[in-house]
Amino acid sequence: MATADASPVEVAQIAAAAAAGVPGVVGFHSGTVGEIATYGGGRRIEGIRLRPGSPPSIAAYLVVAYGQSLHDLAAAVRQAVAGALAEHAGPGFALVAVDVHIADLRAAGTQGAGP
Amino acid sequence: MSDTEPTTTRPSAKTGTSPATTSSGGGSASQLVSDRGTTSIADGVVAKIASLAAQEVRGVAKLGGAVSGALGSVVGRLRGSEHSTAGVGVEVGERQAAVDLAMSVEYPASIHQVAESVRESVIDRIESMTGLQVVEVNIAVTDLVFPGQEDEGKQDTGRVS
Repeated sequence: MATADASPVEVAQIAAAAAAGVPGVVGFHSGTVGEIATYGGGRRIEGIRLRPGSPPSIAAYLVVAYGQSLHDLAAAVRQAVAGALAEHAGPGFALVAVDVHIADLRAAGTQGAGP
Repeated sequence: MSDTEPTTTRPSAKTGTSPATTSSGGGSASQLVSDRGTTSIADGVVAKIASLAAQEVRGVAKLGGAVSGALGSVVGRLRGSEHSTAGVGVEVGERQAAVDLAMSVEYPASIHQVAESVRESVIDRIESMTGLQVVEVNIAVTDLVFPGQEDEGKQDTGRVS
C-alpha cells in the first residue's frame, strides 16, 4: 500500500465525519459495552470499525432518526463515506466497501448526542 | 463530500446490473448486499419502529402490559435507553417480519378500530423504512385506560418531594 494512506484512526475519523453529515444520522452506536470503536493516537472513534484488505472495508454502526427509508439512508451514508475516504484517506481506499449497520433508532424530538 | 464518486449503486434487491457479491449474511439482522458493502438493520430497530408507529395512533394509551411496562421502564433506565420497546416482540427474517404488540387502549375508543389503525400504521412504517414485508401484526389489548388515568403509572409515591 502506498504510504499516502491514512492511519486507521484517521480513516475512522474521516468516515465518521462523512456519515455524521448525512441527514437522518443522529449518532454512532458503540455496542452494548462500547466495544465497537477504532483506537489510535490516544483517540477513540465510536461506532466505526476498519477491516484491512484489498479493497479494505469499513463498518459504520449508526443511530438513525425515525421516519425515512433506511435503505435510502444507508445508500447515502455509503456514498458519502466511500467518497470521503477515496478523496482523503489515500489511494488504498479508492474501492473501499462500506458496511452500514442500522443499530439503533431514535424518535423525533429526542436529540441524540452527536459525534 | 465528493460528488464525483462512482458509488451510485443502491442496495436494492432487484437491480440486476451490479454483480452483488454474495457475502455470508449471517446474524438475525435483515441484510442487503451491494458490491460496495452491506446494509443491515438490527432487530431492535424494527421493534422500535413498531413501537413508535403504534404510539402514533390515536386511542393507544400505552404499549406493554402492566407488568412488562413497569419492568420495561426499569430495564430501560438501567440500560440507559430513552425509548423502551416494552410490549413489542418482533421476529425478523431475511425479507419478512412478524410483530406482536401488547397495548392498552383509551376509553371509549373502538378497540377494533384502534387495533386496525395500529396494524396499518405498523405495517406502513416498517415496510417503508426497512423494506421488510410485514406478514402479521398480532395485537393484544391488555388494558383499558380511563381519561385522567394515563399517567398514573408515572406518579411518584410521595416519598420524596
